[in-house]
Amino acid sequence: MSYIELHAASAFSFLDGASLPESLIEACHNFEMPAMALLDRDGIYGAARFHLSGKKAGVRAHVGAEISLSSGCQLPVLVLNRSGYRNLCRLLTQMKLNAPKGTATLSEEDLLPYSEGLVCLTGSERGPLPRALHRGGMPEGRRTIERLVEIFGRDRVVVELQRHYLRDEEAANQRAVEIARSLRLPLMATNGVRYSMPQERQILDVFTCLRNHCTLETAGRLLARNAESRLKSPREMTRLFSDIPEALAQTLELSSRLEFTLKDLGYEFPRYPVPEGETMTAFLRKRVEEGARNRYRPCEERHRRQIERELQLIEKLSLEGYFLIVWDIVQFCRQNDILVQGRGSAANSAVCYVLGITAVDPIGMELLFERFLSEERGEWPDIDLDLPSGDKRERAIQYVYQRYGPRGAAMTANVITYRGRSAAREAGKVLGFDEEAIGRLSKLAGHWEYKDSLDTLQGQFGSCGFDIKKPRVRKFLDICLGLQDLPRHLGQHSGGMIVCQGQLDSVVPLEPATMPGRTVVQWDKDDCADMGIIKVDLLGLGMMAVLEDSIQLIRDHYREEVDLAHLPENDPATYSAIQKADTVGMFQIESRAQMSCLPRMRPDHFYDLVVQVAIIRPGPIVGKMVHPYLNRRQGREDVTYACPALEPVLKRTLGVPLFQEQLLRMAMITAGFSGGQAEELRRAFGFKRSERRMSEIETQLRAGMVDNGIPVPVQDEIIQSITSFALYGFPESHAASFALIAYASAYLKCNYLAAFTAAILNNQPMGFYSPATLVKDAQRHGLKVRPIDVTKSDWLCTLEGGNSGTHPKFAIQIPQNLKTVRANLGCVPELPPSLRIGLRYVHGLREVAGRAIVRARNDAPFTSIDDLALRVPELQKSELVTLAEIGALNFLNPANRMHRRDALWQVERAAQRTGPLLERIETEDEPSPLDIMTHRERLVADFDGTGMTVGPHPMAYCREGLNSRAILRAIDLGHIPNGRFVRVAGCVIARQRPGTAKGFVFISLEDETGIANIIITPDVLDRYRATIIQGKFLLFEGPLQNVDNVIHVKATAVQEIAILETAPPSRDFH
Amino acid sequence: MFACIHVPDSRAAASAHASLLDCASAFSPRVEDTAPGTVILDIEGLQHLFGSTAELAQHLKDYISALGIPVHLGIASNPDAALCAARGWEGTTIFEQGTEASRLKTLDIALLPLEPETYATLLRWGVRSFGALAKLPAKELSSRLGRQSLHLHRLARGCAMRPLIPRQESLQFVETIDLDDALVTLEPLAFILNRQCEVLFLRLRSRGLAALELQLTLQRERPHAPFLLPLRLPVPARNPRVITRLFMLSLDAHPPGAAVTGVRLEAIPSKPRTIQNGLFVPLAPEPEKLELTLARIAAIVGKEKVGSPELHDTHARNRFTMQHFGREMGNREEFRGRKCAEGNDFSANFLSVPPFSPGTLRLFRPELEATVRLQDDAPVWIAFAGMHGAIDEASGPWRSEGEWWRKSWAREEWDIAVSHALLRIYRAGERWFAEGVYD
Repeated sequence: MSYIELHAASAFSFLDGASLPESLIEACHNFEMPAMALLDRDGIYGAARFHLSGKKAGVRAHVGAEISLSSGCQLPVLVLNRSGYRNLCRLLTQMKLNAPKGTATLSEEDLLPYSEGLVCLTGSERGPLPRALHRGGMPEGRRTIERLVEIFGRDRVVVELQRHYLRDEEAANQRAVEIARSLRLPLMATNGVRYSMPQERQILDVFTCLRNHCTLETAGRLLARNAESRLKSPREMTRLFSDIPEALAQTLELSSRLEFTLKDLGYEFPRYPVPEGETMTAFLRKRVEEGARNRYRPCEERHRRQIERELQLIEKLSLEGYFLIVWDIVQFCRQNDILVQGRGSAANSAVCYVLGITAVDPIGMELLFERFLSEERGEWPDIDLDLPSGDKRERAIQYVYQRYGPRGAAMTANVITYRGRSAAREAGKVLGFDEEAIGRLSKLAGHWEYKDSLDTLQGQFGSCGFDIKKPRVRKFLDICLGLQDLPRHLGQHSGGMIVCQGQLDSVVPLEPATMPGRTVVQWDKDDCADMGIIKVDLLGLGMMAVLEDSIQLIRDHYREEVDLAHLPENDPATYSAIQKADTVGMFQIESRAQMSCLPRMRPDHFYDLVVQVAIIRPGPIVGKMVHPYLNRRQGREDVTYACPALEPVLKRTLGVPLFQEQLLRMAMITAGFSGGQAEELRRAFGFKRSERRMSEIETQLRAGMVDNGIPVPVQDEIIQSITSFALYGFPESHAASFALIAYASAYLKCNYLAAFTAAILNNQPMGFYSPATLVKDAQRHGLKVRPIDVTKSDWLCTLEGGNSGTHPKFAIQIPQNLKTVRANLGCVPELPPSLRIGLRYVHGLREVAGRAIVRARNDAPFTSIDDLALRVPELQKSELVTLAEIGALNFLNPANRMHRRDALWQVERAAQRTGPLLERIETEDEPSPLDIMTHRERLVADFDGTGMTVGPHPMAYCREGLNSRAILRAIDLGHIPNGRFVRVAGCVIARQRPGTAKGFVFISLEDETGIANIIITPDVLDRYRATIIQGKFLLFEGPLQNVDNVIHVKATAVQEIAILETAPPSRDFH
Repeated sequence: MFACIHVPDSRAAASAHASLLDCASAFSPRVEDTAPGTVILDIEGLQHLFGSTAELAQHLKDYISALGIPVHLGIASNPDAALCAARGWEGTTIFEQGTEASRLKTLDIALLPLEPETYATLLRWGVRSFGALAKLPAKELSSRLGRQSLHLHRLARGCAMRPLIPRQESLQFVETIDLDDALVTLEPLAFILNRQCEVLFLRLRSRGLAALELQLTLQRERPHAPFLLPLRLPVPARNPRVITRLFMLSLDAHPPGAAVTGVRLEAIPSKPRTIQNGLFVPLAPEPEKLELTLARIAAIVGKEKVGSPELHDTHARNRFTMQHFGREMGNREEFRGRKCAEGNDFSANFLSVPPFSPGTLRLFRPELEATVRLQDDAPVWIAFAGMHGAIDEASGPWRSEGEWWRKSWAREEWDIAVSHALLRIYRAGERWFAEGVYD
């Protein structure tokens, strides 16, 4: 081997490189180059991927970076040893944290303290030497090199030569050779690689345009002069530098000196600070013992055995610190009233359960520990914590920063890549397509999960009126495809945090996140996992916030204490609602697909919910497990097992594998796999599939099954279920964690409807349904929902006592005398609570103004609109107008209630500021000469101003007319026999086209009585595409499907009906 | 009384507007140019000529029908009520004095000249018609929507009184002549053009103006479309002879191609140029004369070959366009500004790098096709322009390629030493060329 490329950049130089690190390694491997160095601009973003793919291909991956200096040049540096890597990471961190994003640079003085262990190259055309030669010729060039020698030392400065067949570059090379020889510095050949293949030069040109905000036509000489910045073979480089052979030899020499690779990262998970004289092991054991006594009453031998087994493995893998640190975060949350629950595979661990990290008993549920942690796998465990989204989650995150220091903890990054829509937009821009054409294209690249023949890029071009055969359009398509999957920028992962023993910034560079007080590392979560950095996911879950808020509201308004850990099991009202698919707002079981399954499944205890959460997933659906399971559950099919040995594993799911743990156990039982091997199998068939690995595992599986005497047809059946399932299967532990939250949400909704509804409205956006649907559903369940009123509403939705009504908890009218008795006892509120919609639902009302209204009102009630405008100067005219329009000002004068137009009339005057002299003059709100709003006008104002109405549903106003056209209500459909032709109309609240549904579209249609489900076949969709996609109020007709209380209308015709010009936005294309 | 003629079709309104004004002017000297497609005329006293208001309306409609576009006609005691009547109803609408409010009340407020914000407020109030607006108390309305709402209120009641604003003839410098006999040669055209120029410039001079831009339109025998010849001058001109000559030179180079049946010459007026010559500055030629000379040269060599060459910002060789002398400086400034704005990348390309050159390169124009023999991909022998010989030394290749998104090009250059000369040669595709010789 005569040459090693030691100066290459990947697309992780963000708009300054055009190949992924994997492509560079592949090209390097094809040239049989034993090593290569990746020097991305101002970071080591691609280094982890470069290292891993290098490891697979047998290419040694050297680490380095091109550092932007304040003088405007790019200084390439290579990492010699661990100390150099530490210095590079700290240098980059210092650079990034001390300047706004995109402007960070370093001065030569900044380099000085961190130069140890780094080798400096003199750079390509943007490097320090060519720049100096240009600036001041030979003297300046020499001075620059001498300065670099001062900073890095004589043995760590290499004069770089690049040959891209450019005259000016060669002139600079000749001068560089002269300087190097006079200073006795080594010369080294590199190619300043920016892409692996010549054709990728086009992508680099596109990036150049994007970087400079110009088009290809106007970029001129900003574009590359030729395509020579590709990775060249050692042979080609040998020919190019045949006149300076020592420059080639130097690449081998320097590569051999670069002893550092990311294998020696130096990451160490932090040690948990234990009291003096204790070890982490003993401390953990004590906490586990305490927890076990608390969780298992009584703590039996089988519990102790499993816990001991887990502890031994944890100690063997030296993971005590990790468990203690997660325990510490959970403790912090508990002490600060932050609801927290572990999810994912951690729920398979009894240690996690007894430490309070998870809420599911893995021993009771016979969950597989190896799914969480196994010695053979050689991977760190992954614990995900669900926290209430919003401020409380941020408090937990900030606690971690505070505990481990700003440079000891950071969020993982999220690499945003070019996808269909973004690639089309950027390609359109650089080719000079007009905005309108680009807009049309990117709009068409919709969010439909299912892709039909029209959804390809070619299809989109055709439908936009572009001819794919035209060269410019063809080039557009080439660019779009070339950009796919290339990194665009670095974002922040939603909750992944990493912590480190010592300084994290010596392991990976840190950058400031967009959110204040947060830092983010330069690697994404997969990179971190691959590099052995343990991550704790602090995930925000809207429903956790809902549960937490509900508990507080129940405490305040029902005067009851709800403990989520001890909810009544098998609450009849809760299971009755679930069985009837009356689940709007309930976690995980509220979607249309879940609702259509619930009446068949009829869950009546907790494990049914675990199955329910897991069954409506791509795994069981694609693996065709759903119907066999439901048929067996309904007794329509016999429960059978592929082989008798599998009965213990599959018995709970009636012989149908539904969970990932089951397939692991199947492999363990039928093929004699160990726990670790089984987990390896799951990974082999998981998202990062490798044909070779899958085939190896399948061979092992078959061999094991043959040993156990399992016949070939049964082997095929088992392997088929494993292969189709491993990709999308849901872990049982995860399903169980989610089922707990699902049950809690259902229980709260069924028993404390007002509190639950207020909480879910206060945590929007979340879930499947819009606030308008949630409100209508709650009203149908007897909750009194009161409109927004500046004299009553807070910023958030609140609960109030009402004058009459049905207590949702008991679903009966509370007698007056009982109300008094209970009030006197002080155990329940005097009246059943009603819900007051909060000011946060007023469109366009800023939070600062909304909260100012509440503050001023608490000082003294408002007496008039003038008074409101005067005392809340934060309110802008447009906000006052919206408040008036939605009726929020109607009640300002209790003695003289205004109508909305009265308020609008007054607001126009009140908004005219009169100046200090006249502003204190008391004025009363007077009736206006304007007409009162009609029902229709009020509805339009409600939907436009708040996105919902607390009055009757729009469909209710035209029911008479609909009745005369034989249009049924949603509630009526349950009484119609299967197969009868029906007509149903309503407001579209959701449109879905799931990837697993072969082009079928599902529409949820709401009227005043409930929700009707519509199925649209692909041919009906083709016929009525525009109406179905855009219509707000639709009328469907077709045969009714009413089987097992699952009710759908299979549409044969669709038409739009004129009910109202506005409607709450539908949630489309989930 | 006032009559309003309104073209409801907004697409036809703009094109019909001039005709509409002419039609209205045929009836009354006091015509207001209200908006595209809308004119209002004062018809007070016209009953002596045309009879009753209804008869006058009929006359107007008959006259306008020649335009071939549907119009609405409104007649009322004040211009705004007439306007609302014409905009609000089809055909002819006549309001007797005192009936305006009751007649207008059903009209949509969208017909009023409303600011978008005011319109939105009125809709929120449920005020959708003139009648609903008229019913609101004026004082309270004014305290909410401002003083302008009083005018709207009066409009809604049909009692807004404002004087008509009659249009004034715009200042146009156009000379037109329709020829009885078509001209087939340019010589007689020169006489006509000369005459028109003299008249035109006389008119300009009488108002203290000059011409910066002129447009000559020659009507040609059917089926040819009119022949248009624009002339943009570097400085405002006042000399008709020069202009005539410039037009004739242009016509010599680009004849109209058919017999000419009419000549129209229009000048865009401008203030004349005043210049103070510097005491020590050498006198430059008069701009008009210089323009004339350039036009003469352009007539001989072609317009695209006269001017200052401006290099394209590209790696491709020999890409330039000829810019008119007067515009050269501006473009350069713009180019420099753009490059500098790109910060670091300014020096990322070779614009700022002092070009490496072994000496001055004298280019062969056009370049000379050559035959080159290669050995190990390097040229070793060359023949061109009747000469041939071995190449002593070759330096290269220097590669450039670009415009891959259009019609891509690629070029490979070599610097070669042959006998006593140092040449630059290049290969484009399979062909070789000698491009120049280094001094």
